[in-house]
Amino acid sequence: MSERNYWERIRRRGLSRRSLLKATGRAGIGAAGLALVGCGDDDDDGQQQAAAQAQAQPQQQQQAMQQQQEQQQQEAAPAQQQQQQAAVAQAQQQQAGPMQGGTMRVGTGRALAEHQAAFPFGAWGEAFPLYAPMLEGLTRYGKTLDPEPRLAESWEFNNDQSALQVKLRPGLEFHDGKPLDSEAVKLSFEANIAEGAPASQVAGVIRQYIDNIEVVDKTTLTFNLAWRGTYIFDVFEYANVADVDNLEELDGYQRINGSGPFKFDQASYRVDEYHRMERFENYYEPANLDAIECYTFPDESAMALALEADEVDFTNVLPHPLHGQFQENPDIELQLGGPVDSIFVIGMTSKTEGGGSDHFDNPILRQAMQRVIDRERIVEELFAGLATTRNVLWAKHNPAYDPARDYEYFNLEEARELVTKAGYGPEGTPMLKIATFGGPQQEILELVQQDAATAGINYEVDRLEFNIWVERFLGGTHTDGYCSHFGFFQLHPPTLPIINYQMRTPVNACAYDSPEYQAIIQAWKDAETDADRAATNERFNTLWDNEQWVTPVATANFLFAWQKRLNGFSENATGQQRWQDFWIDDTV
Amino acid sequence: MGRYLFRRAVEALVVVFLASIAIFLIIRLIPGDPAVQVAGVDATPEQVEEIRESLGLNRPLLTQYTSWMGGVFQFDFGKSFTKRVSVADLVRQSFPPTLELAVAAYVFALAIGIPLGIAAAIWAGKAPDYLASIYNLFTLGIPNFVLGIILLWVFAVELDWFPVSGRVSITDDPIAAIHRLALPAMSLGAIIAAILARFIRASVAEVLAQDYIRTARAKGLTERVVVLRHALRNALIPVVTIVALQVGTVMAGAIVVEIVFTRPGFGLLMVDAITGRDYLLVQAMLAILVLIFVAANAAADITYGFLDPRIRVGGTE
Repeated sequence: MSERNYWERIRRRGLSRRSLLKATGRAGIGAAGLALVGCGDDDDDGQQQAAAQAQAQPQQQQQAMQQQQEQQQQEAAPAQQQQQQAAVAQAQQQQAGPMQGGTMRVGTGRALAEHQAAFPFGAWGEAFPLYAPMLEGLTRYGKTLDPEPRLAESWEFNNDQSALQVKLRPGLEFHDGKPLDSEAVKLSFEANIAEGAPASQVAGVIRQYIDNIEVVDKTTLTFNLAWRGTYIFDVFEYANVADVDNLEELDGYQRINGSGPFKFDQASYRVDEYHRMERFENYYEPANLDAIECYTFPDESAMALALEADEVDFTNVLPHPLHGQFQENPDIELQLGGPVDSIFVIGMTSKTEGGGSDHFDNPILRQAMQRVIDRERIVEELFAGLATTRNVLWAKHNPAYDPARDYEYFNLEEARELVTKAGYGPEGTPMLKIATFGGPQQEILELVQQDAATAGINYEVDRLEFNIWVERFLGGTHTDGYCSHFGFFQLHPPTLPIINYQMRTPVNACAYDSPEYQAIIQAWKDAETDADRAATNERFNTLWDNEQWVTPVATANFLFAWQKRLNGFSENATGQQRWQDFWIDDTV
Repeated sequence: MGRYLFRRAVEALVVVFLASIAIFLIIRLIPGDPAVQVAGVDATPEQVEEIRESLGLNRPLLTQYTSWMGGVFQFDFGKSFTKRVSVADLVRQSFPPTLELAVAAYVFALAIGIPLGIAAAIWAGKAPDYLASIYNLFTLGIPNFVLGIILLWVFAVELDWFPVSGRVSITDDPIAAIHRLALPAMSLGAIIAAILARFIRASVAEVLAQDYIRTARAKGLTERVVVLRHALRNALIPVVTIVALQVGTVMAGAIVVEIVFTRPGFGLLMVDAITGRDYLLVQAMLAILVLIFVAANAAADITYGFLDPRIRVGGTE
């Protein structure tokens, strides 16, 4: 990482060493002058003189200060001019187009090794910078659920949307020069669901949505769909095209033969620490940067320090409380992730054979829980206002989003009535256990605890180690409930029960299932028209209103931060960037 | 000396063997299934079971232990469950940074602690003694990670004299490596320096009161020669003890300091390994730590003999 000269940083803020020393000297002289002036004579003449001098003092001081200010302004003027010129140059540069070259240094809190061999098949969240530059998909969403071309150049549905023909860009290659053609894409998708393939969420949607894949020619293939409609693009959003001959070597990162704008520099890889990706010259849209370096930090605070010290250029996991501090930093650009993102939720466990909750098995009590969460207070106190309250599961652009249901549910009186209706006396429920593994999830539960107790829902925050929390979460065996955050609520509605751990059936984190829920999933699958789909969405929303097995709290936005000389940032509906667009403006 | 070394080697092996059993059992007592960790959250129960079988975790404990020990004797520590690379490679990558940090911390500690202790003893009741007391008061009262954060904030963030994070190998660029080692070494070494200063002060003061020191002074030797040539050698015996005993403190401190300064090393890897229930990695790392501790203590015993001819390793005089 580069060293940074302290004085250079001061100079860029419009000061110079000379002006600092001058100001210090002037202040010293001024203080000495004041001290001298303060010593007057005792005699009358002296007193008169002293009085006259005292009268003259404020004027003299004022004049001296005025002179000092003028002097400073004159000295600052060149620096201000420089800043203005730099801003103009930057605007001109942006108009002229991106500069080529340079290395972008990314700070991340997740290590490459954590994702093991499953990573070609799904990449999300804070792990995007690690390997998303190396792997590409057929399409990616834009700001909403409208797909944009990536490796696929164009696509077309048949009449009843039961098949999607995809045309690849001509001349695509993997990083080792191997052709990236229709056969390679087909094999890549099939590798997700082959026997022995590592588990991944994308495998689930591939199995559900795709019947089979046919190769038409070198650049054309047809996806025959089990679920008609545009759901297939949810698969493309996360399924990367990987070289199936490379899969074994991917285990342990022996070699990554990717499909994205940057290629893996194997020799640079240090486990849990660092890896480097270099521009792939034969990409259909070569990147502006020469390389991207990824530095893994053990915690977010250390990464924030590194960003402030200009040891990294970009990060997507800045802690929200640091927003205020970085806002005042003229060298750092901040952006809150959006328009869609994952959300914090409280899940309530139904009764199961293995355990679950006798209490939250009752949907009326779950509805009560929904009403004890002061979402606005959570956003203000825990996220410094840098999140959005979430009253319904769906993101606003989602076809299932219903504005009529999106209102503030927080109402302790109503919650208390529901608790009584659920069969509890004045003392409310016995002490329940709602689990968390720490972080904002724990803070949410602690903040809600008092309101919940007021309404008669008594619980303790059960802090578990992450491994234990995950085991119970996957098996739906948390004692009474949990708090966590999850995504995919921005995708098409039917994708949720396939890909989201809380919505899956029959086994999900809340141990919830019902004939109606199963019927809704089937209705999504059978839907032939948009009207059918809309009716099923409404049916789901009604079920969810009544059953509330998982209740949303607030959005979990990424806070992106980067050095101002970095340009080209963009974020799509699922928080992904176009890594080939980044460029560094050396003039800044 | 040869018999002594042989005896110490046998004792060390016994200690390491017993420690390996303890390590093997303790890590498995911690709740949490490594197969789930490896399989990932999307795995079906069948996939988790397959992975458990592939990792050998469904075998009897004795079989797992003997299999592991058999590999150790062939220098095969197995493959990390979570990192998917050989444990030996991971240790080879992570150990040098921690060793660098530990050595740098000791160098700092000795460079500060010894002179401070000597000065405090020689000028007891005067300014150097008070300075040493103040230094001890502050450093012994502040945990090393808090000291690290303070140093980081002042010298790296505000003054920009040092980098905030990272490591450069000393073989690649010694100057940059030392530049990056300075603050972490100070955080880790400051407390050891304080402990050293206190022991040396007491030890030097005691030695300076001995008859042979009075004789040396009576012979007309300068105070400098008296202290450095006659007193110091005997006064440094406690230093050897402290350096050996502090190995555990340094390694434990390195875990936290590595996180504060974002330095790769044993510490971070150990935390990851325990969190991830990476049994083979934890076993190997703990075994290495036990070996280091045992070796440090053995080295300390041998060093006594060199410092003080009256102490013969083997018990004869």
